[in-house]
Amino acid sequence: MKKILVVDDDNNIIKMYLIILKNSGYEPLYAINGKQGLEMALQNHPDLIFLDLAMPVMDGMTVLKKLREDTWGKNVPVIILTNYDTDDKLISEIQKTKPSYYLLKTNITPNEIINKIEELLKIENK
Amino acid sequence: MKKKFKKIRKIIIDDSMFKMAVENAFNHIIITDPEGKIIYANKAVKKITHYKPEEIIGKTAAVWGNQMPKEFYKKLWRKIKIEKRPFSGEIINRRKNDGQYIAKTVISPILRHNKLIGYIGTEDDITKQKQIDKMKSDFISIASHELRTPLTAIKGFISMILDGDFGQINNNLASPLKDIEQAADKLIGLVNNLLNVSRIENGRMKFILTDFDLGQLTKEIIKLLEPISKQRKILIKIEGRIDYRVFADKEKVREIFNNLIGNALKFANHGKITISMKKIKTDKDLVFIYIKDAGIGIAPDDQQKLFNKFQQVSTQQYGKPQGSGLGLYISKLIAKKMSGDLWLERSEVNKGSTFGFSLPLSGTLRSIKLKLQIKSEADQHSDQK
Repeated sequence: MKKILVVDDDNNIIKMYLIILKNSGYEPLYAINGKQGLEMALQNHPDLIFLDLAMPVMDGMTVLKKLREDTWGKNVPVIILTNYDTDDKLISEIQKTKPSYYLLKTNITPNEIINKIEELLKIENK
Repeated sequence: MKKKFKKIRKIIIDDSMFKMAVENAFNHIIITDPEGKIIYANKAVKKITHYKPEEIIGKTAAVWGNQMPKEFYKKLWRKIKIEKRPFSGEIINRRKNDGQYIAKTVISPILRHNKLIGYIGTEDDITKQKQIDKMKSDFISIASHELRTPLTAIKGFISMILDGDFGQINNNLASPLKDIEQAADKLIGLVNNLLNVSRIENGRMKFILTDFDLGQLTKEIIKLLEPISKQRKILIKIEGRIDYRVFADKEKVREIFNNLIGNALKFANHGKITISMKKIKTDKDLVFIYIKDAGIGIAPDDQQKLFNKFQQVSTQQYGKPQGSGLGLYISKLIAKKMSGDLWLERSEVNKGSTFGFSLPLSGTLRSIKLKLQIKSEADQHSDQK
């Protein structure tokens, strides 16, 4: 079973993702801030990470940068799921640390998220 | 009477009166020689820059300036020295004891028999005003972000319930759940519009300009709107030639169309919507696009308010207001940003309305100017980062 780590500081959002991930046959893990998320990622080596940007203790961009410094972490696919409107600068920064993707939370339904995960895991397994 | 007027006039044009007026003016005023060396500075100069006149006479405004990119000053000098035209714009300067401020600045060449003999520069300190503007748009941006998070959960959970993620749902529940889903979508739309307004007002909205066939885009949009128009029994029809090539941001043009046709569909209960286009004689660089409906029309009093921010025309005639009151405001701003405009062509109560907007045709002088304008704005933005 593929492991997916959800890093988000909003309870409702975590709960929602955990349910859809479970229902779609994934093993979900979660963390409620960036620092905890980074630690869990490095310890559990999930197959994919959902990462929020605005979070207490450590923000999402710092988590992403630190992940990419790790030998395992530099190749794990990361989906930035945020409600922040990122500017061009941030988008280009996200793209620099591939494989990462940017999605706006409000614009995507849970089903579309599952489709996106399947698509990404297929690419990464090639 | 005439005698008195002559007397006053004599006092006013008297040198000392002029000097007193300039000296005591609320605006910062400096007079320089053709090289920009300061000959005179009024009282307000000290108030804004904190420099005493004796500290700056004989020097240039760079004493408190020099905070903008080099390219900016080059352009400024080109305008006032070579083109001999006045410059007007917002400039970041620095006060004597540190602290930047933003000045609304006008510099005009002083010409004598067409020979440049100096400049007159005025400044208005608009720092506070700018800070308030920024706070306002920061507030909108933060509030919108905070609103989006719970909305994501509401929308997500409802769509999961409807998809059967929590088990089969009772048929009685499906309909009210769909209503909640629609309401959540409307709220998300409103929040996105609020963010769009703050983006445009901050100059942060990005425009990707391309050369494309407006006719093709129009047909595409009509096709996408077909399910709604069919449901409302309204025919969307194209009249005359529409295969114009324009130079604009395709997605933004799509937004304008969606807004105008969407409004027409919303307020027309029958009949048809006609889309037509034409070139006009007075400005050959533009194509005019018209969207005509046979809807309820807009009363003259309401026509004035149509393009105001958050304006909703809401009277018994129109029924319950719908939407955010931002659609036309945003569309007009977008059209203007792309060197066009958007307006109400005509409207008559119970007969219908015609809205028009214009876009630059590709390959025209206007389209080239637009390209340069957007590029220079993007450059300025990256400079400020």
